[in-house]
Amino acid sequence: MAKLELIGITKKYGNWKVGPVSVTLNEGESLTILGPTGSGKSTLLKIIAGIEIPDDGKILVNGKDITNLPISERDIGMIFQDYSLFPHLTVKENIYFGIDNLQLSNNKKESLFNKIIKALHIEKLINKYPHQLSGGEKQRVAIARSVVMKPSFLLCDEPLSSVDSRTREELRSELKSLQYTDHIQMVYVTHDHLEGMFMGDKIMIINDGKVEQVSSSEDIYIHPKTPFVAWFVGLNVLNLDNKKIAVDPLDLEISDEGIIEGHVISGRYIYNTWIGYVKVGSQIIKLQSYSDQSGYINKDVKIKIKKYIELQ
Amino acid sequence: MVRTMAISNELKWKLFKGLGILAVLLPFILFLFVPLIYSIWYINPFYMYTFFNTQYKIKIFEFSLENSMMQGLLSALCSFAIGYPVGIIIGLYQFKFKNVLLTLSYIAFFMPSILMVFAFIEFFYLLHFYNFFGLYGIILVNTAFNAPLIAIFTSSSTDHIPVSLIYSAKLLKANIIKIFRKIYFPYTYESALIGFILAFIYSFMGFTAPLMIGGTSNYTMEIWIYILYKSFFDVKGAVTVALLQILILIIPVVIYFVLSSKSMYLSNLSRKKEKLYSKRDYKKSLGAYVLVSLYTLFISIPFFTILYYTLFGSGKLSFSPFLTLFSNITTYKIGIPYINVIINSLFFSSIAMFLSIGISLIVLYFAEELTWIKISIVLPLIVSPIVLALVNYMFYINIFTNVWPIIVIAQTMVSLPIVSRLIDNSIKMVPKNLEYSAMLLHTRRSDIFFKIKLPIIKYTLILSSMLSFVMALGEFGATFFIFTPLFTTIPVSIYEFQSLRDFTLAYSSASILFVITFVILYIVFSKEAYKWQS
Amino acid sequence: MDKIVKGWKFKVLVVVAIVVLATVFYEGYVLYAQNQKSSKATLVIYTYGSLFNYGANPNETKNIVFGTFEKKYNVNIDIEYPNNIMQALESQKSNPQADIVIGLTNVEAPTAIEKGLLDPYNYTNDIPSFLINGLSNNHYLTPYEYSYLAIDYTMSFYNQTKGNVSHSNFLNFLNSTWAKNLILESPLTDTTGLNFLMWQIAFYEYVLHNNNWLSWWKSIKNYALIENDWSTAFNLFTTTNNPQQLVSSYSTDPAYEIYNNGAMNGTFSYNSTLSYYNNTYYGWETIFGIGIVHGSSHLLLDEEFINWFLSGTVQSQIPLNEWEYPANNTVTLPPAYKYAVNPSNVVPLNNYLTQQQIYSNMTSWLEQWQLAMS
Repeated sequence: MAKLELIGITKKYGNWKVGPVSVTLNEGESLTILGPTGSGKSTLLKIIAGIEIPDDGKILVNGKDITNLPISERDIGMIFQDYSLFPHLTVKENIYFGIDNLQLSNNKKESLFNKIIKALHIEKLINKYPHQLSGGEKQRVAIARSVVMKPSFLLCDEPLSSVDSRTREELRSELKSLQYTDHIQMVYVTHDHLEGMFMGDKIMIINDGKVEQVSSSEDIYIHPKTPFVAWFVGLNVLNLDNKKIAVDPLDLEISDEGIIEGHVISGRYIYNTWIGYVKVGSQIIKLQSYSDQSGYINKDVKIKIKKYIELQ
Repeated sequence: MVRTMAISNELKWKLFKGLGILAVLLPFILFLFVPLIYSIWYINPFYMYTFFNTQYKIKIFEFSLENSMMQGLLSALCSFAIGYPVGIIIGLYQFKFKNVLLTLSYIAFFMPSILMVFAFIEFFYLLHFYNFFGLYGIILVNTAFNAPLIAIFTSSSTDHIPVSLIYSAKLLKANIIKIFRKIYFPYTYESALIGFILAFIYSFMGFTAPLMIGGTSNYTMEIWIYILYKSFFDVKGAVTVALLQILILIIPVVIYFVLSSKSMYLSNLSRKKEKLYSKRDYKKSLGAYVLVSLYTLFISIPFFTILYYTLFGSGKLSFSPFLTLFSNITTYKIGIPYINVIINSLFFSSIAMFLSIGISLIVLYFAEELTWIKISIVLPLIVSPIVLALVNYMFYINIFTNVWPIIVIAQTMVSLPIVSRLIDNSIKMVPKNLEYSAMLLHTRRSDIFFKIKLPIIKYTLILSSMLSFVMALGEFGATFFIFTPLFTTIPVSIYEFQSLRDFTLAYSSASILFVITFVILYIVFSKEAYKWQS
Repeated sequence: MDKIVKGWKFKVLVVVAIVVLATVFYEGYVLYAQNQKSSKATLVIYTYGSLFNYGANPNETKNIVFGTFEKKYNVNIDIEYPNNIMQALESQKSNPQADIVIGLTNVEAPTAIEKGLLDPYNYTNDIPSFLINGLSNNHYLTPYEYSYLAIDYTMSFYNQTKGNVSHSNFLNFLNSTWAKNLILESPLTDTTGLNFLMWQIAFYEYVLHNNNWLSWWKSIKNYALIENDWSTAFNLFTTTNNPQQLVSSYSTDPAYEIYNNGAMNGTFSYNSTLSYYNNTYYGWETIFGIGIVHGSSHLLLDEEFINWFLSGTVQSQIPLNEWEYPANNTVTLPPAYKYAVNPSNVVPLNNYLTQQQIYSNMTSWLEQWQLAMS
């Protein structure tokens, strides 16, 4: 467990700039970096890993400056969207690749190996090659390979984007559990806001290279600061009396008392929730309800706001 | 350029980078710069100009330069005229023997020059067409080499054309000419131009063809260097003309360098090629069909001629020429038994292969990120095989008592550029994330190179080794310049047999070289090889 | 252990070891090939590839010439055929590998002597003085055989020209019909060609008194076929159905032809001619010499070898194996030689064109020739 500090990290690419980014992760905390594609999240991750060097700013781990430390000397692990397993080695050889670099006795190495394959349920796969595995299995192996080295931080660059959604949920929960069982702190990059809020204790929303907000996961939903953050975490952003407000879809109701006029363009009642989309002016807002409102589809309606958050 | 290695110790990084530059430059220092500078010093650089002491020499220089230029330009033009359309057709259409055609084209380009020239001479003799000699013959042979090169470059650049562009154009009802002008041409002309310049350079430096079928009136500068050294015993002259040739060739080579930095020209051996979309049925275009058939016949002439003469030279199917080859008769004719010739060839080519691959790997280990690679690949193009042999001979004959190490050096340098480029392309295809993963697992740089990158490009390494072996095996000009009978190689033996007009032995020797070369090249360039990739 | 073998360092070492071993073995094989038995002294001879190759049984002939000497003096003779003898000698000047050189002609002699490649040895027994003066009057080379250059013609060409070809000279070849039939050798790459050039220059300058010898070449340039070496030219000439009926070669060829092909029916398919002008035959002698390489470590042995090479035993092998006239004038010529041109009827043009002149002008002549032919 360690404390991670990013102080004023900046990186320029021609006309485009990422940063300055400042965030502190306390011991035991995980960070999610959330943002749309091309916002600079992967760049930040690469800077932490040492793959890229920032133009400005510092990275401190437990107070020690690691900004210019070579990749191989950082106590960091990383998993990638494309798994990056060594294709010519078996699963066992992949995992041993890192273990062999540790100065340990053969027995210790073996016990480390056995522990990790059990923890990630990949005992049956150890003699297979990466191309013989499914996406989810590959990612498990990648996680095993990184985690067995007991890094202070595990950097995750959209690791579950290529995995199907059910396997994704399972893996997500297993990854998160590692934080509690093995004290692995994660820096998790994703563009999926639900996944991001689940994985990280702290969330940093980044847009077009600039940090929009850093808060805890619970807080970001309740106290979004900017319209972008609100929109990105799934809230509706509306204009009310020349003020911008954020409204949870559950806090919108179709009612004659409503002050917003709109047209329901589509909706679906799935299991126990009805989700619908209403065109209001040029904007499309999302409605959520526990009762089926499908009768309003393709009809003009009035929307009532039950609760809202003021934005800056 | 993104720096991917964090600097912990400035000095360590500078040292490593210095080692890298040294590693890249070392083979060229050892086998190009030092011998060249020594040769110039040896003949007294201040008085090199006195070589042109007679009006005759100046005129001969003008003539040889003119010949080199003419042969270079005309050959390049003919090669382009044939190769570009064929390349476009290969890219445009889908037909059954397309892969075979591509493989044959590669083989034609890498065929030893002695085989090509010899086969064409014999082919025209077979047709009783005795006027094959002279400028047109030389251009014909050069075209047989270089048209396939341009065809290959062009067709591989059509692979980069986004499919959607062609679909869009067709949906917008554009006809084939418009599609060619607006889509195919812009995407392919650069590659074809690169091929054109290479064809020019190779033809400019022609040695085997002008020597065997040119006659005095078609002597290139390369041959003049040879004559000066051998017949006039004019070392000063040979080195002076060599230097002039280098200076002249700098221009096209620089153009080539600039153009090729932009694009990957030789198709990557390690990447599996997939045809993503179906193309028009070729039968609908008779013109294309005819052109491709003619082209195939043209580049297959050497193959058929040699096989035909070897098996049927005595009138009926017989293998007795090979028995003669391995008998005493060979020893009378060329001074050593043929089995020794084979041992020589195999040994020289094997060592040259190891050196080529070894040098390429050393260079890539230290200097993967540097542009030096591209420069180093281009340098040997300026120095032709004869010049290479000449300067290395002058320098190293004082160090080695025998001439065979120099032959090996020459053969290594001849195959080095292409081989190192192939391996470099292939290493660059290894995903960077694998490297980062390994670094994050605290792996040493050497382990990353040997345990991850090399195993992944294993098949490219094997195929590149085979290619460099074949190139060394078929090398003629440099070896011919410096060999002594004890070190005769197979290509040299073919030349000697045919100059003694002992065609039985010439064909037998040629067919041995041909079979080895063809088989290895076929394995290297056919699609079969790609199936080995995991 | 398993891990060590799998490791990349081990594999690299294995590869390097294989390469080093292969190199060592090859060098050993080379040394072996060069020095078969190192217990005895080895006499290294540089010569051209066809030496003593054109007889009925080359093996036996070489055994007589070289084997006898080996046994008598208990030495090894190592015959080498460098690509280019002069160049080999010159590049090895500071560290000579050869002891004896066989086959340098009167045209190359001045260059070889001037470059200090040879050591003199005075041997004149039974050798006519015109040969010695024609080759090297300072005895740097000793003549062992000679011949006149000639134009060989087929009998059908003889008939075609109604016999005129046997009394022809260079001027006749200005006729394009004649020139089209001519196969020559390039003086830039071949000794016969070089000597032919001397013949032609000497004829023009000293018989025709015409300094414009180059004009002859310019006239025949578009018609004659010029090959890189004599073997190619001669073998082309003797190929059936070959269109060219004339070749620049040696006047002793008819003897070869009659001995090998015509003996049965007394006819022969080709003959040869020199330059016929004003009722006189003019010819150019090519005198072949044997010499001691400067820096040889076996001087006494070399001298014994030269003595041997000029002895009756060896010299009598020359007519039927080399198809040249032996230098030793005590040797009787075989009957076939009556069909060769009789040298006593010929005026050698070598008398007019001295070796000093050849040496001074050679480069310029060759350059002019190269230019004219370009």
